[in-house]
Amino acid sequence: MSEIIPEVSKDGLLDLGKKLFDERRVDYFLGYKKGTVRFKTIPLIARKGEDLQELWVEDFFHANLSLYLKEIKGRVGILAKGCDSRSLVSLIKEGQIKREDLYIVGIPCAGQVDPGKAAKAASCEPEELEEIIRRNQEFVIRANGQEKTLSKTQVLLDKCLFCQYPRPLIFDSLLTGDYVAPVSPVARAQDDLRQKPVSEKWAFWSGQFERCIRCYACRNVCPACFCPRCIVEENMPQWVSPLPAEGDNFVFHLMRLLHVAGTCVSCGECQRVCPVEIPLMKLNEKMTDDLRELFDFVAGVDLEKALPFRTYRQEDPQDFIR
Amino acid sequence: MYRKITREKLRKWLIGLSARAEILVPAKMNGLWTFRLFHNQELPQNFLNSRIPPKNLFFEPLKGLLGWKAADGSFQVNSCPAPEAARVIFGLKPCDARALRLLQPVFTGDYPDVFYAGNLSRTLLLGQACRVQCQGSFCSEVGIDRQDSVDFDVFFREIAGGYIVRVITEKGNTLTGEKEFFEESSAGEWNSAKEEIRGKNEIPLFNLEKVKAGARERFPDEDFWMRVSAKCINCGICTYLCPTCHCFDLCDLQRPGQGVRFRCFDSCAFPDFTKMAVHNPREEKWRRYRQRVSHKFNFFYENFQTVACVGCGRCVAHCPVNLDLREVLLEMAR
Ligand code: SF4
Ligand code: SF4
Ligand code: SF4
Ligand code: SF4
Ligand code: SF4
Repeated sequence: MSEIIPEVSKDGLLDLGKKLFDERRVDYFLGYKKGTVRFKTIPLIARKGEDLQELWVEDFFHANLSLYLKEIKGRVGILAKGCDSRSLVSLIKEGQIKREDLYIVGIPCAGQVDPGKAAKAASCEPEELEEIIRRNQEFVIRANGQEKTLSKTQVLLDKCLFCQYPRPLIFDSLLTGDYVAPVSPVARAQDDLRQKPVSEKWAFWSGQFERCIRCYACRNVCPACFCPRCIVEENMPQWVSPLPAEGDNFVFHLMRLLHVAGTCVSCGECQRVCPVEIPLMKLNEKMTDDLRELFDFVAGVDLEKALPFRTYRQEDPQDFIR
Repeated sequence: MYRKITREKLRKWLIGLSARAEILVPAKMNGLWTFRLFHNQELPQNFLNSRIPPKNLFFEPLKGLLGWKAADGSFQVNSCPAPEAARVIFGLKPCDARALRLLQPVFTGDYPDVFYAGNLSRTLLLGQACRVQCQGSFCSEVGIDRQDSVDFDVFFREIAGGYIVRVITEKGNTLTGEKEFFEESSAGEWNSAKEEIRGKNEIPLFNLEKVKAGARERFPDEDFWMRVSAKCINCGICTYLCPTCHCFDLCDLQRPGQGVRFRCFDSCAFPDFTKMAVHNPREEKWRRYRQRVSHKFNFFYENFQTVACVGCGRCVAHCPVNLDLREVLLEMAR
């Protein structure tokens, strides 16, 4: 059976969005708007057809817009890259949103750039990067008035090098374009840290968490962190102190990690926004691997499979639960 | 007073000072520029500014204020001592130094804060002129000269082979008076050594007077604040990276028989801000975002006759959703 995919051109997107508003199929439309800072995009939260004039889907659309579904309730039209669609699947599964309330427009993604990584490859400061231009299968970087050609692997976010879902898993229509992974996906090499003794891991994470300023951007940007009240903000009693010290920072991060186990879809947004560049994905990837190995579970890839931490089974091998 | 020094002599001079004071210089740690203890290394030439503002070296993100002990029916409270050890920070930027000055009346006014005051008085502030405009910044729009400043003890501007130096305070004069390091220069030389900044805004983004007026007028305009703050995710990045934000929280750590009271940062962006008094007066996000902008461009100006933003651009460059303060100010100025 051949499926019929409603395709929309970039120009058609604006009309589609307006139509969705006109026909009252959506109350909001989440898209992107041209950024004001190099290599960034602004999430566009349209409340009416006219707001869509600023829609912009050229490049650098890192943001996983599903984060706004924590706040915006009602019927929502949303642009989704392949990987973002996993958050949508996961949120539907978790009962946070209803499939019928969403109008999902898939967007072809040629991989998102990591300016920090590109700067390193071009041996300059990230602040010195003037332009990152896609040229055929490569990137041309301009920094301090000089041009350098870099490969995709040197410029794209790590997650994009392992992109497994270039085409959204659920959608109502697709923007025209190629839905292929930016590079032929290779298996993610296991993190070196995993082979290290516990003391070394502890030392590594102590050093990282010590730097955390507890701005909570990682939590707030995370579509999987949807609790209306978070334990770190409870102050009667206060479970975790707001002091940005190693101990409480550890508690915050490990607790968050366990809370998103099974809903974290490895979108990488937490790490991307961290202002002090803590490699949070190392933790998420370890957790994702464990879930796959122990529960044969991958978050956000199918709507049917039971959630590992919400499922009770009589034959559960661990007896503490019986 | 103006002086000159070569690159190598500056390093030697700092090495000499390190016998008497702790020296902090720009250095990269975990991929981020910051101020670290000097260990006689070459000074970096491509330093733009630190990610975390040097404010944190004066108003610390985590600071013990007092401790208490209870034993045998007695109860003792001790203040943590105010910092005294001499310190030198080299490489501070004009925006961040202005921020330290802006915070002075807050921390040393009606309720003097011995820690902030102590940190300021123990530190020799050595500034460095900017050669490139930082991403997202609008320092000149808020009245900061990137090539000149009097907010320091001594201000350094790079020239071929070394630095031309503007001596501002008496303390700075004494320390740079050592003939084996510095040679005399003149106002003329200082003025002609002024450099063009790379990447600067060709035309000013906005007029500050209009922004201030707009901040007052726009305050009651709920639609405006709702619209501009819609995408904000209520994180602490803009406040915690800001060199002038200074809201704090107090927190007690208790053990049987003893405890310490700490101060840490807080952010008006957080939904739980001031919840320690049971509820947050600003339930909705737009009120919290309005608070941040209004505090800087309206209330602080009312109280201290200067806006509490030095245009460093950190909040612009690092906001996870690219909520650009410049755009908000521009709209307010209209
Ligand atoms: S993982 Fe795939 S879909 Fe997601 S941003 Fe990267 S290339 Fe695009
Ligand atoms: S924890 Fe990080 S990677 Fe996982 S869903 Fe949240 S933001 Fe994405
Ligand atoms: S975003 Fe980074 S600094 Fe902020 S709370 Fe998360 S880990 Fe800490
Ligand atoms: S950094 Fe941006 S998203 Fe975070 S609180 Fe500030 S304006 Fe909102
Ligand atoms: S508000 Fe933004 S630009 Fe102004 S001083 Fe603070 S961080 Fe810098």
